Amino acid sequence: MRLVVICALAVVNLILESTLFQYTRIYGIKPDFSIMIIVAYAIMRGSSYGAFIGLGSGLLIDIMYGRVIGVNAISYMITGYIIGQAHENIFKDSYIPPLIFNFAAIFISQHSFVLFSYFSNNFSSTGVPYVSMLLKVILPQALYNSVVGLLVYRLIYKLDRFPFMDKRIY
Amino acid sequence: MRIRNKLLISLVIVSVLLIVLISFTSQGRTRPGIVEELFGRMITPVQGAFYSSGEFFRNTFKNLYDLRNLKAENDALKEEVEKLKQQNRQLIQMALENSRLRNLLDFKDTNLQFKYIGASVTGRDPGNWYDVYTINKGSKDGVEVNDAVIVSYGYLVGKVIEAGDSYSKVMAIIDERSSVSIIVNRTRDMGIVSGNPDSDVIAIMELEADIVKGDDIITSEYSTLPKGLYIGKVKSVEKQERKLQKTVVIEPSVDFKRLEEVFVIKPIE
Repeated sequence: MRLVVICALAVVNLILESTLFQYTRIYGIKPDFSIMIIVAYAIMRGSSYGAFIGLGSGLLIDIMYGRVIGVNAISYMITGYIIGQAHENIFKDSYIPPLIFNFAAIFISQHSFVLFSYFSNNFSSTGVPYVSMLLKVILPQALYNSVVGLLVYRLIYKLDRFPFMDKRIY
Repeated sequence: MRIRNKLLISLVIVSVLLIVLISFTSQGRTRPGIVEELFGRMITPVQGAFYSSGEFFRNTFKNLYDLRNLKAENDALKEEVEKLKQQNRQLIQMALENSRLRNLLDFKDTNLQFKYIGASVTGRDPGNWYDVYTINKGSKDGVEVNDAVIVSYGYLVGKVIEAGDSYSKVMAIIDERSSVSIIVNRTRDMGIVSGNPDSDVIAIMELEADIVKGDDIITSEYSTLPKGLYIGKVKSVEKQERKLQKTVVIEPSVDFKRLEEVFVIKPIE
């Protein structure tokens, strides 16, 4: 049952992120809602959840919007795995982990994304300097993501504690 | 094997598979694969509903906000319409005369007519780096890869990079990976424009090029897109003596934040 809910969440997230959530852009930067879901499940349930949800969400985005398939998938999967490594040593109901981990997750996923895009010849023809990229895109997005990610984490946390999530569908 | 090792090993295997997938697809594709077709076909209509609902709310708020300035704007617009009608009459006269003179000189008629395929934008790339839109028309409506996509007033939006059956992906001109061959309308100087993280379009031109702020930029005849499509006005020109080039910043006339209805155009000879 949890599997079904997570799949539905991922698909709904893709649809919303490409349509309504575009309006959350401040100076062109939008928080990454897939990362928020990945981090939430990675904190709550560990690396395997983080990695698989990362793979699924990343592939969905690549299929619908990517020119090169696999860049988002591998970035989100690595991020989900790394964040999930903290799963055993964290209080799941505290407010601090989602803040810090969303911030870190954006760093990891965006750097990985840029790296893979660069190597698959998918990046800009004139080149963007690293520092400007860091200051203008990655850092603001990390801040934006950690603030909104806290909210999303609480919602997913509450959702995951419902008894119907543990129900088996077979 | 402990659970942790199993996960790490399967992670490494999947990573390798993904890297192989990346290297295959980075060669460039024109048709989405079977899996993607399926996803696209299912997801695009739903996205369309959400996208247009977002537009509806934004339009409502905008209309309420604009209510105050409506009368003044209306009067200004009426005046401009009259001026444009007059200009239009003169231009039609000139076009007829042009056509007549061309016939006299036996020029081949280079006036291209287009076939318009109307489409709605259903979604935009959720990342922060690229500007790829999906539209709800595909190859069964006649959309092909490398077709130009414009807004109704003739401003260039981008070009089609992939065409599925019922949906297509359009890369906007402000995407960093896109490049369009252009000429400056006034001087007929040529150049190439690419996108830029600030949502402008950048052209690199030679140092001696005659280009100033306010010039109009249109697609050239060497572009894979039809010629004469309007891109935007020059916003600033910066000389870079050391690189022997001028960096021209062009503000695209299309408002990419408010993209709704677009047309895919195909030239018919």
